[in-house]
Amino acid sequence: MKLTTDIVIVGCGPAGSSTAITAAKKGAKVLLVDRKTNVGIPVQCGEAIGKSGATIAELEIPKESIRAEVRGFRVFSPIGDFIDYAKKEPDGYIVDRRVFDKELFAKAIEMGADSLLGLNVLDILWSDKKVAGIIGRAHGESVEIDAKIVVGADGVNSTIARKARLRRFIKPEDLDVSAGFEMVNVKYDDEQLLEFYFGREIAPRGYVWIFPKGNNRANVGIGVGGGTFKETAKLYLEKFVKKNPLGNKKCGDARVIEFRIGAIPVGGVNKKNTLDNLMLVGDAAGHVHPVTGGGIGYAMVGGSYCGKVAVDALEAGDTSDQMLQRYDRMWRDRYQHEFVQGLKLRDAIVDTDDDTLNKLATILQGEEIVSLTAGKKLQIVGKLLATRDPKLIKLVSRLKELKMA
Amino acid sequence: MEVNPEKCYLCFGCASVCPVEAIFASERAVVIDQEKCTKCGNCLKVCPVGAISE
Repeated sequence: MKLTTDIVIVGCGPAGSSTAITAAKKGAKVLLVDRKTNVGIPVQCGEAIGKSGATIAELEIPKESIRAEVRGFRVFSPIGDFIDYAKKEPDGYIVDRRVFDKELFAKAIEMGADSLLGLNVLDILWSDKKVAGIIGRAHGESVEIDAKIVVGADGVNSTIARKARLRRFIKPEDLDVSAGFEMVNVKYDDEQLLEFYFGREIAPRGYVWIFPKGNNRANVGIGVGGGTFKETAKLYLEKFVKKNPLGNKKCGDARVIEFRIGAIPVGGVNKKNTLDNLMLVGDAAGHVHPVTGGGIGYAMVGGSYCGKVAVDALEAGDTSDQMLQRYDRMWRDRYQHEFVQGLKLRDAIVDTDDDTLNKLATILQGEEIVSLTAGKKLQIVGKLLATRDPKLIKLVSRLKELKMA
Repeated sequence: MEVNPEKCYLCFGCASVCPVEAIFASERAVVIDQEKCTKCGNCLKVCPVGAISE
């Protein structure tokens, strides 16, 4: 089978569908493809999303997918002290990713994009050493798709990124792996607060989360840094739920209704995300926050910018690297600083022992945690820590390094 | 390196850290090409369910 299109987008997750909606709305001929035949399944995610990403992307969070509203978070230290941060009004949601991904995909098709599901993309189609499309197999048949622009939105294990030599592989320490339970009968503290649990024994270079979904249902999951753990992610999570006093208090009577596994690229943005006729977006581009592991909002913003620049390039008749790079720059202008700082904060956290985490919980306020995660106000927070406890000097010096970077 | 299909949940974490493209991931299975594999151990380090063994 041979097909021809202006933009072929590999991957129908939030990044791919956001790109498709934006480009199709502007009248481009778009083809969305995915290896899967069911968009949105299986869920590999904690399902929390802030409102800001969708707003910046000028896209709507599908109403049908919203399960609960989020006002803020509660972060627990290893011994169970906690810090709250909450807005007056909800600024995020817990969504059902099955519905979320499916509805975004449906919107793209409604806007005029075509789709080919069940296509296993095997390679980039090259012509005179330039990207000219993709090749793959669908339902036992060879498929060749000619396209003016190829968009790789094919996730953590992106074939397009690998074949384009833009990300050949991820270092184990730059990959977080996650295990998650969807549970009933969970006794979370507050229906509108996301709960995070830190500690070396709880989750090495990561955290456990409890995301309330209403009616005592919740996503209970864990993300741990690749190469940092002795046990598997699944075992750490089971240990938290059954044996950890904090986890047991919340999940002692809870029952599992779904088990999820996922891999998250937390090594920061790829050095380069465009070639002549090719763009990467979402997890394939490294659009995942190095500390929080959050990616949906960044992917939607990326998809929106990617779709806009792709259409501009087609209209100008110039789909060169130089032209497409504008997309990458737009994304970096908004998030690069936060991601670079986040990467260093992530490394500071991995060196932080439980005693220090317990101390931090007695000193820091919610606003300061928000600032740190965003890579802001590092000097002020550093000073505060040094004044309150001289033993925190090691962490303070790490924060100073962050400041200088 | 080998994948135990009964334990694998198809997250593709192993394939994403493979430096020599020895791990082929499809919707149905993850397969390690023994001839390409250099036994670097990256996949072993990231598997969230312990499905990979030497």
